[in-house]
Amino acid sequence: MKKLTIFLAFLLCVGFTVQAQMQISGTVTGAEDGLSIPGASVVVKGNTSIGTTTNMDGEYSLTVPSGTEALIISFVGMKTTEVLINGRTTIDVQLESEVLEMDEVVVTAIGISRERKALGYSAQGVSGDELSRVGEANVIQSLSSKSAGVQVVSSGGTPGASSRILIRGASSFTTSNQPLIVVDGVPIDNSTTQSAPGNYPFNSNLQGVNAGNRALDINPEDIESVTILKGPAAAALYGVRAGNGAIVYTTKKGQAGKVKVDYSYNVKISEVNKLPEFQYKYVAGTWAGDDQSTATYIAPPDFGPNGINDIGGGDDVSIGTTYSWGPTFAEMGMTPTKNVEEFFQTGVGERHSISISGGSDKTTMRLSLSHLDDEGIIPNTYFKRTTARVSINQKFTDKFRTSATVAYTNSGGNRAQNGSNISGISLGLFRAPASFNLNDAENGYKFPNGQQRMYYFIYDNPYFSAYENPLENDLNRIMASVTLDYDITEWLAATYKVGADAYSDEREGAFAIGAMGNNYGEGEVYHNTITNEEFNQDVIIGAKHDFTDKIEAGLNVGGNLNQRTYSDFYAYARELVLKDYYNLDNGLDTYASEYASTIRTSAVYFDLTASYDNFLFFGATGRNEWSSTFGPNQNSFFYPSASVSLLFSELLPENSILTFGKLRYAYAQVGKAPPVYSSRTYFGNPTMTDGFTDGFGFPFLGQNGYSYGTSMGDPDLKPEKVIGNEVGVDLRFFNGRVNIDFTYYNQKTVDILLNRPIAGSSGYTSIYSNAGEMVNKGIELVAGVDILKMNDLTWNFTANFSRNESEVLKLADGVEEVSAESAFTSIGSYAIVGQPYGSFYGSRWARDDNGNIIINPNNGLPLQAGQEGNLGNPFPDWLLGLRNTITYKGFSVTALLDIRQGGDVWYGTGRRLKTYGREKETEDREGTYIVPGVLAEVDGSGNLVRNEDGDPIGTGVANGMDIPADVYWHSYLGDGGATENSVLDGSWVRLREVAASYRFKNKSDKIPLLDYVELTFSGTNLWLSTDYPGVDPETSLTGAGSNIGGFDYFNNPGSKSYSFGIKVGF
Amino acid sequence: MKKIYILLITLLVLFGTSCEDFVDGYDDSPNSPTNVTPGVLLTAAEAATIFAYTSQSARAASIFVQQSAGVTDQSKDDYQLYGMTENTVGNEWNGLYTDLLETADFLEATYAEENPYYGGMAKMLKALGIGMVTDFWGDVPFSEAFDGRDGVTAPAADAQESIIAAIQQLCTDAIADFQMDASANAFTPLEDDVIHGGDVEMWEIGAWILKARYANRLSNRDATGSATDALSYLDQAYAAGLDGNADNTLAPTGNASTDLNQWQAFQNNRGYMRAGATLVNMMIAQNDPRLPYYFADLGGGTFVGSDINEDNAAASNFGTWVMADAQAFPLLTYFEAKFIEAEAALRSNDDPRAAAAFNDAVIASVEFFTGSAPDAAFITNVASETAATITLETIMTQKYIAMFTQPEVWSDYRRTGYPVLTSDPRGAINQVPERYPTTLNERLYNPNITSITDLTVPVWWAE
Repeated sequence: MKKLTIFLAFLLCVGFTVQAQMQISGTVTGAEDGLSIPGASVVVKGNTSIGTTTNMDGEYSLTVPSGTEALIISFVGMKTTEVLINGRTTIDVQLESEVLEMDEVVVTAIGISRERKALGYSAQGVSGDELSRVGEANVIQSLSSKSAGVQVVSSGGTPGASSRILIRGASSFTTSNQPLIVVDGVPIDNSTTQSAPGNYPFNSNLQGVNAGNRALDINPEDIESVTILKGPAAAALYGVRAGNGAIVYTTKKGQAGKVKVDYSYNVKISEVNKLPEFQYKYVAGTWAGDDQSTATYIAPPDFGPNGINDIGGGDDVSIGTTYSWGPTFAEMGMTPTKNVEEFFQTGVGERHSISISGGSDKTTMRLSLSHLDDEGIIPNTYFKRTTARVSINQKFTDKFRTSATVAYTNSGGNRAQNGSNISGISLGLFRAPASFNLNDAENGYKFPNGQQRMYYFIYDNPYFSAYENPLENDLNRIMASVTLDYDITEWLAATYKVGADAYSDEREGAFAIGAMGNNYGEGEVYHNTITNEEFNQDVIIGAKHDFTDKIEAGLNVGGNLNQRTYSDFYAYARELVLKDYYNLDNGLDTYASEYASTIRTSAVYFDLTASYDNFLFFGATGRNEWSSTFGPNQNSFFYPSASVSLLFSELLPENSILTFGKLRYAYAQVGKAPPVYSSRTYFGNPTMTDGFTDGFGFPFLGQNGYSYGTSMGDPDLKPEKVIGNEVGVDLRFFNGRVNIDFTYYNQKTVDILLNRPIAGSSGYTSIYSNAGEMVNKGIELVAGVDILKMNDLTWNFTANFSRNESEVLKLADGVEEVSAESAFTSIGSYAIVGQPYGSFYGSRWARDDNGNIIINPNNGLPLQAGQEGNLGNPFPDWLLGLRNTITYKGFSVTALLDIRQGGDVWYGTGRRLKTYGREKETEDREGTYIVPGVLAEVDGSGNLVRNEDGDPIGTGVANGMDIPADVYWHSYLGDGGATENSVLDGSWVRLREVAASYRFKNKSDKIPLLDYVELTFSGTNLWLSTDYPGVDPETSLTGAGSNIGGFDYFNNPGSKSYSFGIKVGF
Repeated sequence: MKKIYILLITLLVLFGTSCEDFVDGYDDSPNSPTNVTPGVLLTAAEAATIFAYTSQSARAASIFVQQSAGVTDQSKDDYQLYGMTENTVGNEWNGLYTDLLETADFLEATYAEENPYYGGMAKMLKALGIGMVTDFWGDVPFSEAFDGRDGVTAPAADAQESIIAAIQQLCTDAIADFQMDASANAFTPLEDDVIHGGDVEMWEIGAWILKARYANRLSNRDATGSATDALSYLDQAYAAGLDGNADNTLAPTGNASTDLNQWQAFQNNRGYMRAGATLVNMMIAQNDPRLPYYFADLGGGTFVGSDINEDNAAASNFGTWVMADAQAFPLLTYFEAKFIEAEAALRSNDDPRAAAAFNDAVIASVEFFTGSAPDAAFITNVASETAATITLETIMTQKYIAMFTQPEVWSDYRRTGYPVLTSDPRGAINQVPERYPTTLNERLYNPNITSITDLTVPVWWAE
């Protein structure tokens, strides 16, 4: 019996032993896209030496010992997942990506990667998909409303126009306020340059065409992710270029595994999205007397056989008019033409994009090509871009790796004139009386002899301007970077990174003979070549050490060399002789100017991190920088930063409500270097003018002359310094289903550079020196909720909210206000002590203590105050972006609502259109008007009594004086009135993006190679709700190259677009 | 391990020292010359001088004394109606100090020692410049001025008396420079001297005339001394070769957009001014042959000026001489010298000399503007004064007519009160202004000067 028991027991043991190994197999796929994941690691829980990796198809097969409870599956960038075996032999696993996880790696300054949990400062990421989803060509514009604290303003709907980006407001007066743009660890140029000859005396940003910002040359499809380093602490490692934050783009790299090919094709349709409202009741003309019954029609100019040269000759030749105060269409027996609505076309564009990536575990590569062709809503405007990019990652040995990327871009287009410009499209278009057809059936926009048809002799017909006053540009650019990583020992690594960015932009423009926009009919051709080269090198040595079980530290020490060379050649020929021949030898009056600059900087820096027990993190950086733009007496500056991050959730008992909580604080000082060549006083060709004529210049009577400029440089120039404090909290609830990220920041800029005015009797009128101070304070809030997160259906909601307040604390001694940049005589953009930066300054109405306007009892017209005042501010009160994303199996829909509260816009266009009687409001002109207000005090002879400020005094008696309608629309609400009338609230709610896509995955083997087919639809700007009466209030006359904003003076309108596409993957 | 540390530290040290070298020397702008020649400085200073004497200040002076009228916009509000404020004349002040005086001073300081001819011209331009500043603004910075690059950003004002003395000294020194041999110069001015083409004898004559002008300026402060000095300087001028309009110092202009006749440019671009009735009527009354050269014929020989208390936009524009392309305007002329001689001789009780000089002056002025001598009737009527008939009023009235387009007309009116004018009754003050107001920037940024905005306060030599 005992023998049997022992035998049975033995059998059982054997049996167990026989059953002590199990074969488990399955497939590992991604949870979001369902794609198989090759190379995922599958190991036994508790005995990680037993494991395998998935094959090319994501399949694995593993023999595990009995008693194994679970497998652990992991893959880079995805959440490590544990699955219970539970007796199964086939276990398919879906891995989720680590997007919202705290182990997420964030690319920070200088390309150093950090885990998000260790960051003491605010850095927000945007994925490459979000950037390219709606087919926006400009990688700066596509960041709009996707990140708290970031404001992007586009300058109008013309393709290839610039977008200006500000992070946490503007922090400087005269130097640039835009952040540093970095691609794969290498800074690249994002400037926007207007074409203007060297002798142009005014602000070239106020007219001409909207040039593009250079980040436009990047193909958004190449971007894997973007990190926005918002404050000084985040960007401190970039030293003097980090004063406004940094935007770090990381491009897509190849992936190991089978070759993947993605091809997409998109068609984009653009239309104008908003226009002012016009009246179509009254023809061109003026009032001879005081009411509509005296209205007389004024015919368009009578261009004789010599065209424009016949105008102004005899008394009877009409010069036409811009006024629409004529009789009604009914009385004249004419029918109105809706010139404005008919002018804008539907622009059709297309894009092709293909990328091929693949590799082994030693080498991965990605190649991408794209071609984009966008047609604008203004006829004859377009933007084309072709890009090619190759990225290679090579692992030579386990210790030595390299990664390289080279991109070539060719971009260019034809742009339309806009703004304060006789050839400006909107100027000629909006002012056109409805009784004149700009493009009629008989002749089109010009007569058979080439003379343009027009309603007023000194403007250009917008069709003529669009077709015959072009500005074309052709730009070639190469951006390349190579990184070499060598692991010297286990704890010591070295990195060498070198990058180059070089472009050459050839611009050619013309004004046809007969165009009024330049030289009154004599024609002009101009060439402008702009080149820019930047070389950048970094050497970084990194070490890490575990001091004890709980204390880890890491130190990166590095050095940087950077050189930027820029040149601008400009030549024009005016007074063209032959028609349609645009070569410089065709002009009688020729001029050429050139400008060049070189900036060199070098720096040494360190980046120290330490952590205690994985919940308390400390970071410090320091950068000592030398720059050739500081004065010769001051050469190097040091920028420190320190930050601390506490994962307080680790101190709390583990719970499933608050799964993660981090408190962070950061302090940093960063700088902004002076513009190049500001440290000295230079000789130049003086210009002598008293403001009434063009004055004298050089060559003078055939001789050249030089003298010292009127602005002195300062050899002791220091950089501007931004001192930032920020504190924030990151909370994740329910395992990341709900997350909230809140930041409060206070950034003070000191030693702001400005032209400090001095007494002219010193021989100079200003010194460029460090003198101003300004502060930006605000909050940023990012909140996200995964409302539904089921296997097939997800719904995510994210909100970005930011609010920034700025104040100018100090200008130079004795200086209370400084013009930010020269603008118009009726309105300017100023830095005024005690006010937010960029305030509009202009004329105001005289008002009594109760706020009533004071009216002149002699004529019933309102009176202006003696002194100009603060009329508003173009920066918004707050910004909110709301995004909803819903996915169901292969179908996904997302929508982004963008809300801006505040942000004034100067409606200069409206002021003028009211005077001309074009705006719809002026249709009400049959009666008389009374300007609301109180009468002014007058003395015995009817002269106004003024107080000690020179302002009139109100009597409290309500105004009852009738004034004619044309005077009301001109002297009260038009451009004869105070500027305060035309500074309007630009708040809006808009549906910025909508995108829907459906992906068919090829699960069968019937069609070999095909992985998926995706259909996409997207739209931008499809819906806009605003009280602003003009064109889209997101508009900028001055573009991204300027420091002032909020001006709308015959800006070209914005656009909305629809895009349909198909994407195929192999 | 140690090797690695040593290597790293060496690398870092090397890096640190080479960092500074990497950026050295890159603060020189390629868009501006680091050194210039005296020639380009001279042309720049001369252009600034020509601009100062033929642009807004000349137009303003002309409106104040009613040779022209401002009928609209700023010409009316600021000048015709005497409404100038501290914001009005900032450009003129800055132009004189930063374009003219600073450049002339730099030219003198850098190149005068080795180039006396350039030095002399620099001194002359400086004298002309500071002369206009003090004539218009009174007590102004001079000895401490244009030293901004040495850190003097708020220079104190000098008394007008000392500035006029300084002007005399500048001219004397300039004359000494011009009398030096050409070989004393490392470089000699030629076509870069757009005023005289390098002819230092002409410059010397001009210097004597300028000395005479400023000596005569002191007629109210020192009647006899000023006259004696003026006459002796003029005698020197004649000895140096002054004997007709061929020896004038003129302010030339050109045909390019950078050097246009500013009287023409102003009227074409703005058109705010017209002929002044006072001058027009005077010239009509004496059948003056200069009339169509000064003012435009409205048709059929009709000339109309806009009077005080009216804005007659239909009045005559300026005439063929004033509006001519590339006109050369008078700066220091033979006929001015003759008028000064007449006035000084009269004060010295040398009436025959006064009459003779006066007659010469009138005829020379007509020849200058019209190109030929006046007819016999005109000479009999106007240019035939004798020792018995010559009076200060006669001299100053004809000088007033002859000095049209020059800022000097306002100085002469303030000093002598002739010709007798009634100020515009619509004016902000009830007299012709005695000065320009201190500019806004000087008031705000120069604590070392006193700001005067009361236009009725006369300058020192006009008291």
